[in-house]
Formats: sequence, structure tokens, C-alpha cells
Amino acid sequence: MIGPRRRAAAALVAVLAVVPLLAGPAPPAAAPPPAAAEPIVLAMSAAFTGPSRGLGIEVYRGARAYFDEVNARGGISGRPIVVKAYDDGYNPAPAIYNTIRAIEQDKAFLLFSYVGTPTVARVLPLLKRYRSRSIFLFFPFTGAQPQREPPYDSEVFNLRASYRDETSALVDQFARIGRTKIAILYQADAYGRSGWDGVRRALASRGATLAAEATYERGTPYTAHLTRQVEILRAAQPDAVIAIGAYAACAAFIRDAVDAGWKIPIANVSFVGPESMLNLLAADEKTSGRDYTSMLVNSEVVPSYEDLSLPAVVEYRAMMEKHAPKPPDVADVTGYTPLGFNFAGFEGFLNAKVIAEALRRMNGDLNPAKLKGVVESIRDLDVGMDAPITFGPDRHQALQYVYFASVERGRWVPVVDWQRWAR
Amino acid sequence: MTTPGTMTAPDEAAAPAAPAADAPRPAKTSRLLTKVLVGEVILFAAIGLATAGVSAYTVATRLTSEFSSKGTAIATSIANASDELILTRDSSTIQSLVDQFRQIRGVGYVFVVDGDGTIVSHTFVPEVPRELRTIRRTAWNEPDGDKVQQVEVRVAGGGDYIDVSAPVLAGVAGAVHVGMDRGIIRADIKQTIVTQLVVVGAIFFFAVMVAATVVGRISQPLSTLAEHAHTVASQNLDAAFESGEAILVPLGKSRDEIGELSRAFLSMEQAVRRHINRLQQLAGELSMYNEMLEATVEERTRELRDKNAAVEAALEELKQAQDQIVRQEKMASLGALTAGIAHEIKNPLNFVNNFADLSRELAGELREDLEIEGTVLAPKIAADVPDILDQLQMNLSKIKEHGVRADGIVRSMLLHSRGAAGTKQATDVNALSRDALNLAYHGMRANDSSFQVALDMDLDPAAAAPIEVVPQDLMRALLNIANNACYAAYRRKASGGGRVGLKTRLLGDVLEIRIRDNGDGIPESVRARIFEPFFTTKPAGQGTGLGLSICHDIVVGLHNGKMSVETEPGSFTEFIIVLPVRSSANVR
Repeated sequence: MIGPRRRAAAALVAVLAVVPLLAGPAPPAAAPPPAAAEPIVLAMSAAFTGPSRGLGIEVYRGARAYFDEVNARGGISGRPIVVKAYDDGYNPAPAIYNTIRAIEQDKAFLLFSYVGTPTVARVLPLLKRYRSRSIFLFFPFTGAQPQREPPYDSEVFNLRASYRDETSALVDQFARIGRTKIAILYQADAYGRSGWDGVRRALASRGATLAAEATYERGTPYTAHLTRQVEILRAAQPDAVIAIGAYAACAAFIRDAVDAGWKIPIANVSFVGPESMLNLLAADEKTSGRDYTSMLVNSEVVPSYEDLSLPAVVEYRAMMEKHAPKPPDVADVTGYTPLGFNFAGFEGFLNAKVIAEALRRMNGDLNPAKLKGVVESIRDLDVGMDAPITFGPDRHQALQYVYFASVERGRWVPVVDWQRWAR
Repeated sequence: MTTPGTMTAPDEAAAPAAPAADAPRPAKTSRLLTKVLVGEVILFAAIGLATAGVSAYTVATRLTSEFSSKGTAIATSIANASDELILTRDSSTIQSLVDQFRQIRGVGYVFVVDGDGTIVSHTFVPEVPRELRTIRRTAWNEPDGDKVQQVEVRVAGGGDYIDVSAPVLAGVAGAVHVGMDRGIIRADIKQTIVTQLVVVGAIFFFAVMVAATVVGRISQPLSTLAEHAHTVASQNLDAAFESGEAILVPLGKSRDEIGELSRAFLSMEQAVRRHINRLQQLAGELSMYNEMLEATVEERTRELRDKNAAVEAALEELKQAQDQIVRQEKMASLGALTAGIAHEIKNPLNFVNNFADLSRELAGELREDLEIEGTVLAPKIAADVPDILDQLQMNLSKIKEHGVRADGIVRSMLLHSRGAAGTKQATDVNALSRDALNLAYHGMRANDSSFQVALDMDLDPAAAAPIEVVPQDLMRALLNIANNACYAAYRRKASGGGRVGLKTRLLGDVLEIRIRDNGDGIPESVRARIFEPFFTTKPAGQGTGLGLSICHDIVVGLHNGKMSVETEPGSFTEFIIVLPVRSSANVR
């Protein structure tokens, strides 16, 4: 389940050139939306405050970049798309409350790009509660299993690959370069547990077990010290560490590991927010002069936004520059500088693009009961990346591709040579 | 106001108030109140501790039971909800479930073990403690394997927990463990105790206020009384007594014990006042006696001083007497000299007298001859004239010879008796010594015509070169020694054979003079004392005991020389005087 080779991408470029982009010229019939046009409300509960706010804000900004363009071209059947942002601070209880409010008060048409496993995991039962209203969760920014398994998989559509896909790919790649003793650092919650479960399964399929495991508290800031965790994992002398966490804590762990003189490949999964993590580490590299980043490898579920051979990347960059979307009003922007292009934003952008296409395919009949059928009918949709998107009644998981990125000259770039981390 | 430290007058020092001056100042707060407060503190401490203890015990028991049932409820509910999840779902589902219970108060941890014993979900950071990793509950086929179980767990560095575990599917699908934090139970107990103590403290404070009011009414007059007592003890008594009347009389009007005490105090004060007056009177008398004693002591001191002056005067007289004796000794030696000189001069003067008479008769004869014969001398007479003139010439030469001799003796005598402190001058010590021995010898002869000793002179010609001495003093010293030698030699050898020897030698840069006699010698017992003043072996009245002492002073003190004696009892005595020789060139 490795990301598709470049040859596939090259082959697709020709096709893409022919197929008009969905965000391309608007239908000539579409007049400017009437003033009374009711907006299509997409509810998004995510972390807009706290240590993980970077993820929520960037996913939102990426999605907004595309929706702003759609709205500028007249919206969907004359109705603008509005992303209503709710802050849950990456905590389950507010996420539940936000969802209820979105459904009951704000008449959300669908739930869109929720961020975070512990929050999403607790929101899932609500979908059952509101099943009669046909409320679906689209493309949550999490790779955890609960929304991919019964009984909730029928109420959720996943675009990105799962953590199982990511961890399995990482374990495979490490095994290929002779690193089979894997230790894991994970967040002490459903997200961390999901990654832990994925790593454990991947190892079990190779007849191995976890070399060591350590946890940290959700919401741990970068200023905290994870030296205890470093000690616990290091004592088992593993070949590699897989970290299932948020960027602040993972960056702190990497810093403390390097500071302790531990030279070991450390892999993070897509949720980590690689740019925010790199910003923290790069700032410390400047002051301490240590190399915090050369042993890093991240798994991603979208292609690199540096890969300009992909039309989606070109489009994403153009939309971001054109609309320069701001963080939502609920976000705490104190001391926060919006990132440039980034993986989370690119994922949000792709999410927006697919949902917009689904809405478009409803042909003006925006009846929630019909949404599921429309989405399940999508086959081989090309959104400008080198992977076609297909949904079906038994297929609510569109993509399974995993990409790898590492840091070179202060930027995240696709990994071309794993041997640099070989034992 | 007179402070205790300034009490110097005798009447004040004698006052009975002085010993009490060191008593502490009266405390501001009433002693009575303090005692009541101490009682209250003890009482309330006992109440507080007892109630707090009972409450703590109750809370501990209740909370433990509460927590244990709470833990049981949580564990059971998770276990009941998770059988399906464990078997069919991703671990994050259970984790999500478990996380919901973390926030419940008292829950320290939750973890879920699957059927294989693997911990599939937990809430620990950074890792599952060792003590809990190995915790084991009885299996489904063991007693109570399908029931909720409880154990006490102590995590090193992580606190104490009541571990409540509930089986999932009777234990075959795993178990749910919930750790109820004993630290929270302890915190609750602490909280309860603090609350209890705060309440008791508030009641205590109220009780203190009440006690202060009640006790204040009793202690106020007592404090006034006590303060007055301290005033009496530490201050000017007369003033204190004056104010005492004003304070005590109103208090004494009270009919209670305080009134009685005040009256008693007043009468005591009056009694004390009387006693003090008497003491002051006695102190005055004592002072008078003291002055008398001082006067007597002064008088005695003066007498002692007078007597001391008298003793000093007597000592001065004694010194003068001693000087007198020394002078008399000098005169005695001068007398002996004078006797010798008189004898010596007598003989030459006889010659002078006799030959003078003879020359006068010859001159008469010459004149008769000339009268008888007229102016013309008969040839025969004329022939005699030359003879007469020859005779005259011879007589006159004799007169001259003895006159010269007398002149020499007189000059020596004058030289010796001049007595005054001499000055050093170049002197022939050989001649001086010889003269001294001759004078001594003749002095003895003058006193006793039978005196006879032989003199041996052995004078080194080299010693004749003049050296710087005080001739008068050195002559006196040598004369003294020579006198002693003659006396000793003659006394032992009265029948003849006594010898006195004089010997001089120039030995390098010293000149040695030895005067030796063959007398009885000096007994060893007195040899060490012979140079001491007033020491003598002569019969009483014959010697002053100063001779050798003066000699020693002259030789050693005046001339920087040495004086010693060699002797052998029954054989000889030899005095040795050593004088330093300095070239005249060096002296001048």
C-alpha cells in the first residue's frame, strides 16, 4: 500500500488535461447567487485552540481556499458553501456538544473534516442518533479505525488512508532497511491507541511484538520534557521509533531524544502536522546547533504539496495564494502564524474538492437523504492527484495510499532513498 | 523618680525595696486571663483533636467503602460494555471508552486486559507501572474468577490505589481494572480535619472573647493592686506610699476578697514605712561609726609614716658613723706614721744640734785666739786656723747630709698625709713599694724598739718604668699590707727570724707586686672574708677591720687591678697585687 509511483502520475497528467477540472469554468447558466440563496452549511468541529490548533486551522484554511473559489464562481446550484467552524480544543466532550449544536441549531447539511481521533470516536454514536436525519461525517482528519468499522462505517466517508495503512507501511519500510525492533510513543487516548493497535498488528503479521512503548498526555506542549519517555524507549534498544502524536509533543520527544544523544529514526504519522513540528524543531536547531531533523521520516496520506507535477498541487497553491483564507473566528490566533503550503491544508483542500463534487452531482436537489447514494456512486474520480477516488455502498474508504516525507534543507520533501536510515 | 541602679545613699541602699528591684515588670495581660486561656486552649485542643480524629476515621472508612463501590461500578460498567469491543473492535474504541472514566473523581487509572493478558488500553503516562503490569486476578475457573475483585496496590513513586477489577465475559475475554486513588481519600481526610479544626478554632476564639470579658472584671482591680505592689518594690518608696493611699483606699471599700486584700496591703505598707524609718535611723548611726573608724585608721597611718622617717634617719646616722670610723682609721695610720717620722727625724736633728754646738764652741775658740793675739796671728795659731776651718767644713757637710735626710722623710710624710683624692700620675712603683715597706718597718720600730724583722727586696728593674697610678692611694694600700706583714712576721718570730719580702715583676702588660711574710698565715675559715669591711682577727681595739677592704677598693676599684692572697696556715701569707701597665703615650 505504498504510494503510487511517479510513472502512474505521469500517465495521468494527459488524462487530467482533457478532463475539465471541477473547479474550472463554472456552468455558463450559473448566475450570481441570489441574495436569499440559502448557504450549504458544512459543520467542522476541530481543534482551533490549544496545542493542536495548527491542524484544525490549516485543514480549515485548505478547505476554505477551495470553497472560496467555488463560491466566487456562484456556489453549488447558486448556493454558497459555508464551513461553520466549531472549536473543540481536541477534546471529546466539546466535540459532542458542537455536533449537536450544528445539527439541531445550525442546520448543518453534513459534518465535514472533523479533526482528531478521540473527538471523532465520541461523535460517532451521535450519527446513529441522527440517522433519521441522514447526517454523515465526511472525510474526518483521522486515520483511526472506529469510523472505518461497523457499526459506524455506514455513517462516515473516509478519503484518507487509515493509521493502520500508515503504520503498516512504516513497519514494512523499516523492515526493508533492517530495522525490525520497533518502539512506539503514543498519545494516551484513542488516537494513540489506534496507532498503537496498527503498529502492533503490523508487527504481529511479521511475528514480532512491540520492543517498548511509552505514552504522553494529550495537550502536552513543546516546552514540556519527554526525557522520561526517551529513557523508557531507549532502554529497550529499538531500531526505530514510531510516534503517534500531535506535533508539539512529538517535537519535544525528538528534541529530547537528540539532546540525550540518541540517534535513531523517528517516524510520525500524518496527523502530526509536520510543518508545525518542523517550525518548532528548526527554531531550536538554530539556538542549540543540533541536528533534530535528519533522522525524521513521516508518513503522509496525501502527496507532497511540493510535487508540482500534480495538477491538484498546482491548484491548491494557486487557490491558497488567490484567496489567502484566514483562520476561522473561533480560532485562537494569538501568536499563531498561518503556515504556508502544508500537508493538512492540502488534505483539507482535497476534502473540499471531493465534497464539492458530490454536492454538485446532486444537481440542485440538496436532500440529505440522497447524499449517501450520490457519494457512493462516485467512481474513479480524478481530483488532480495520481490516485482515482472511488466510493461505493461497501466502500466508504476511498484512498489507501501512504506517502513518505523527510526534511531536507528545512523543507518536507518526498523520500526517495530509505537506505540513508539503514542499519 | 529614682531607679534602683542609682540608689547610692546609705539610707536608700538599706531600704527593703532594693532586693525586689529585680522583679519583672507587671505583665500587660492579666495572669488570671492567661490561666483561663491556657485552660481553654487545652480544652479546645482536646475537643478539636478528638472530633477531628473521629471525623477522620469516619471519613476514611466511609470514603474507602465509597471508593471501593465506585470502582466496582465503573469497572463493572466498562466490563459490561466492552465484551464486544474487545473481541471485535479496534483498541481505540475501548480506549475511547476508558478515557471517559478518567475524569471521575477518585479514579487514578483504568486499564483493560484482553483474554491473553495483554493490556490493550490504559490511561498511564508515560508507561504502565511495573506493579500493575504483573497484577493478576483469579481466572474464570478459579474461585471468584467471575466476580469483582479488590486488591491494594502501591506503585513505587506513584501512590496507593485500591485496584478494582471486573471480569469481561466472566474473565475469558479479559478484565477491566480501575485504580481508586487513596491519595484522594487522604486529601479528603485532611480537608475534613482542617475544616473541623477551623470550626473548633472559631468556637475557641469566641470562647476566648467571653472569657476575656469575664476575667477582665475580676482581674482589673487585681492588676491595679499588683501594679501598685511593683511600684512599691521598684520605685521611690515615699512617693509610692503617697500614691498607695489614693489607690488602695477606694479598692478597700469593696466588700469582697479584693477589698480585704487591699486593706491588708495598706496596713502592711504602713508597717513597712515604720520599719524603714527605723532602719534609716540605724543607718545614720552606722555611718557615724564608719567615719570614726576612718579617722582612727588615718591617725595610725600617720604614726607609721613618722616611725618610718625615724628609722631612715637612724640609718643615715649609722652611715655617717661608718664614715667616721673610716676617717678615724685613716687618722690612726697617720698617727703611726707620724711616730715613725718623729723618731727618724730625731737622729739627724741630734747630729745637727750636736755639730752645731760644736761648731759654735770652735768658733769661740777661734775668736779668743784672735783676741789674745790681737789681730796679728802668731804663726802657731795661724797654723791652727786651717784645721778649724776643715773641721767646720766637715761638720757643715754632716749637717747638710742629715738635713737632706730629714727633708726626705718629712716630704714622704707630707706626701702620705695629704689625704685628698689624688690624681693619676706616672710613678715608679718600685720606689713606691720600697718606701712603703721602709715606712712600715720604721713605724713598727718606732712603737716597739725590740721590733726586728729582715727585709728582702727583689725589685724587677723593668718595673721601675713609671706607670699611671694614684701614688698616695697606692702607697696607703701597700703600707697597709706591709704593716700587716711586719706585724705577722714579727709576732710569729719574735725571737728573730721574721722576714718580710717585697717582689715586683713586669709580666707583659701587667705589673705584679708580691708582699710576703712568714707569719702564721690566714686560717681557711676566714680567708674568704678578709676583704670585707670591718672584718678583723686582731684583738678588740687593735684594728678597725677596714684596712684590707680599703686596699681592695684602691687596687680593684681605682686602678682596675686585681688583688689576691696566697697563704698556708703556719707557714706564710703572700698578697699579690696586679696592676695594668699602660704606656704613658696611651694615657696622655
